[in-house]
Amino acid sequence: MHLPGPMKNTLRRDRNPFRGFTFGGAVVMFHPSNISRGTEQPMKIERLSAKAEDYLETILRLSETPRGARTGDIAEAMDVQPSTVSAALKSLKEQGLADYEPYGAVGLTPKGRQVAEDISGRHVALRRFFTETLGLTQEEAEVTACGMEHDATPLVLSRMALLGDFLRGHPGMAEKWAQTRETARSERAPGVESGLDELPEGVRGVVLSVDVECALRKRLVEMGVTPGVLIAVERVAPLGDPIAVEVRGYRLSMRKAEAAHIRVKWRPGLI
Amino acid sequence: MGGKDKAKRPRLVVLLAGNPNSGKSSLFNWMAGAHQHVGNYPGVTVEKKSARFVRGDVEIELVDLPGVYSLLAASPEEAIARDEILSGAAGVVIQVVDATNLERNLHLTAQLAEMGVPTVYALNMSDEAASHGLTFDLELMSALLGGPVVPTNGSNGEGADALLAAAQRVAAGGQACSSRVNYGLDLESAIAAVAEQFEGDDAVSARRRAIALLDGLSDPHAPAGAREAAAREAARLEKRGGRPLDVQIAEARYGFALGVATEATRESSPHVRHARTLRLDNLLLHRIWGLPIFVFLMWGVFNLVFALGEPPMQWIEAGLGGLAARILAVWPAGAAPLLQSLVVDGIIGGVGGVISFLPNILLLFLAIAFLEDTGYMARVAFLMDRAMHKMGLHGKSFIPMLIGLGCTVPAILATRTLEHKRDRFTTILVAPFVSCGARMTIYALLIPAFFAPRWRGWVLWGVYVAGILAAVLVARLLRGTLFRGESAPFVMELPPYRLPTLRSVGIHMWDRAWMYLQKAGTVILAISILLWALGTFPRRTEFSRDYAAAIAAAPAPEAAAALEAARQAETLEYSAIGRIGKGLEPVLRPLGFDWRVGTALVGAFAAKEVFVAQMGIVFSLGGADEGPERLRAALRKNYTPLQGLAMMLFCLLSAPCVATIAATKRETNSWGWALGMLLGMTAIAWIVTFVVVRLGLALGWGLA
Repeated sequence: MHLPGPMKNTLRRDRNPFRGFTFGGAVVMFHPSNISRGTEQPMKIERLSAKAEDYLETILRLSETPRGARTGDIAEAMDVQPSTVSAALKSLKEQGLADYEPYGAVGLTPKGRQVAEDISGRHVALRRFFTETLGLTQEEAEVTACGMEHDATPLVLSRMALLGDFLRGHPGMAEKWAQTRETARSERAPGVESGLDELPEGVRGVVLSVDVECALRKRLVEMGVTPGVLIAVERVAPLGDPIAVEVRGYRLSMRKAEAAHIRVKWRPGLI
Repeated sequence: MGGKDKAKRPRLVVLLAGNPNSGKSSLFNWMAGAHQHVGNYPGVTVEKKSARFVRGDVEIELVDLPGVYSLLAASPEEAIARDEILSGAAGVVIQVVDATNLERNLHLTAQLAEMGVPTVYALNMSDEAASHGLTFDLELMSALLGGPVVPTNGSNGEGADALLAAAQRVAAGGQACSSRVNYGLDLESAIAAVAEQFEGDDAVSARRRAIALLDGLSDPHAPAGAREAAAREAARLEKRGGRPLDVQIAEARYGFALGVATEATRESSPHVRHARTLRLDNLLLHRIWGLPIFVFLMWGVFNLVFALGEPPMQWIEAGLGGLAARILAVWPAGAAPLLQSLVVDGIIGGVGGVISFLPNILLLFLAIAFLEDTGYMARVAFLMDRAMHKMGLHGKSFIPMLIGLGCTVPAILATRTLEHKRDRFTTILVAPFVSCGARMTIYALLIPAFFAPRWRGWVLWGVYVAGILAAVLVARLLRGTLFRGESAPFVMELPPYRLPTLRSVGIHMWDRAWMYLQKAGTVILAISILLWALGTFPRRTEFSRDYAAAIAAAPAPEAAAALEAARQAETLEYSAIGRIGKGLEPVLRPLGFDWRVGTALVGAFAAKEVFVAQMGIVFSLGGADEGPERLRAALRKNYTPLQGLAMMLFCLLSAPCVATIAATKRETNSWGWALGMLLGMTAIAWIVTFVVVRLGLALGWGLA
């Protein structure tokens, strides 16, 4: 289900030139940029604009409810004026994708249903990738999936699916990745930014950068102090100067003056 | 016949590479057995350990490369490791990988993979890793690393033979290591763009050199096009990645290392790694107890080296004394007196000068090997760095300075533990300022001669402090002039504590002691004989009176002894040393020294304690055998306390003994530094003594 069947392998999508060209909130039109190139067998499916795909997807979703897909509901779901919906529906009908009577439920033609199911499949696949593999929140995954479902090429989707499968098949890797990912995420999370010398003992921080001239920087990065790595100050020498840090599973000591060049982010009180 | 055999046998050079503390050296010891040979790489003071032996039908030359964290050629060790690997002579490289710390060890692998040489991996300490709950998928690891992986155990030699077998197999196949770090799209495109410019190179070498250029390493032979491309690509990628390119490259290498480590490791249970090390550090680096424990351990090291070394040292001296006595006994009376003197005083004395240090040096290296192999040496640096850094030194300089209280020669040899040249040379050059045991004999003679009992302790204390102060000031001076610049990064691994094997400690100790005997020993012996010659020639044939007749006619043995002493004094005065002493008088006069002190100082260059004996001779007291009191009385009669103090100061600060110079030459690999030390210290001693004497006179002290 990760792969939208009809799009497999061959279709290459350029960036939609009509994206953002909205007209009263509804741009429903063909665009021809999708004709596949090269010697591969050309696909005859005509690509729709992102907006049209969204309409089809929404209609599909709503038509599965007992109430069916009605203009008012579609407008609400897509946050547009009912009049805009009507215009869009008209265009869809002209393309033979949707079928509707005024004041009745909107239905999809077989062709329309195929496109809608395809889009919906991509949406689900993307959302799953974003939440499970990238560890994004539901909202962020949803919003991003909505944006990307129109543009992601089949190859992108298949590779994403493959990566997800791979990580599911290698729990050790998945765990390491989750760790790395959480680290990377905390770069944006609230926290204190400081030099490593100011990191309290026992608190884990994330290395943001190593800002120093060449020799020391090279030495630090070759010892594994690279951006994104987790680091903790284990102890301070009795005389108060060199510190011992734990990084990549081993212990490293450095002077505070050297540690000051390593920018870290940490959350007070968080071990 | 043997030569013929050798010529027929195929030869294979096997290089052993790996991180420091990966157990590389003990693995080397297991593989090399008794065949090993220790020397230096040409032109540098980096130790080269190699072994030649026959395995199967192949003559193997196994070379233990210096332990390094990377091959970026930032230090002499790294440069050597890199050059040896790339020299083309190497048939196969064995990388020793510490299984308990895969990630960082595999970072080196990532660089090694670019060298394009057949590679075998020794997964060392896999038993220790098993105790941390780690097991490894060796097959997968070999696939990922592009070479066979052999589990080994450096502490009992397990796997050493299998490792050699694998190395031979891989070398026979000639297949270069097939793993390759993927640097990611951006970097790979940059690498390709730069590599294109290396037209004469094969693909592997072009890629390696391209990466090196992008990493910011200098490559003087690179075509201009490659350098331009590298600069362009670097600027582009640094802008895009938001960080320096070398950081991005290191990230990619660590990405590879993390990936392989994660893939090939099965963690059975979440163990705290190195729990024992953590517990020990909690004690040994404790905020309050860490330093007292350290002081206690250092006291132990000092006593081990000097207290335990004292009896064998005396045996050696007694043995040599006995040998000299025996030679004198069997020597035909009156025959070839010059040869007799050469053998007894020159050669035996010189040999004594060399080997009487041996017990100390063996014990010192035993202590150092133990401290290094257990992992405590890094903690010494950690504990002492703040204090030592203030002096312009490194935490690891502490041990040499401490050892210097006993004897400067082992102190200079102990600077081997310092990795960076600047730290190391500074330590070598200031270590002689720390008062050694031999100088103590001078203070023991002079202090009671000139100072009232209640002041003696203070004066002695003051002299020692003056030495340390001089060391600190000179260290800071050197740091500000000759060794100017940012001090080398302290960034240093605190390795896990491990119990060393007797075997590895023993080999370590013996190797270094043997090097001392070979290199420093020959110089000491040669200079000792030279000094003997200077003290003997030109020979005086005409004395102020006929001593032989007078001694024969002497009424009592005391009178005969006094006459003999007077004759010795005249002989010494006439000799080259006496003449040098006299010649130096104008220079020494401002310090309040006469020719007698000058003569004793020249003689003391053989060994500081000789000063006392020479003073005895020039005062016609026949050495110090008569008990120091008569000599002290003579000194009191001839010199003021200020002059006594000046002598001590000058002995403290002036050119150290022959053995120190020889050790310095040996450790800096340069006569320039050794002679520079000699001149520099003499100059400092002269200036300081001059200032103190003038100041004392101006204040009206010491004229009594």
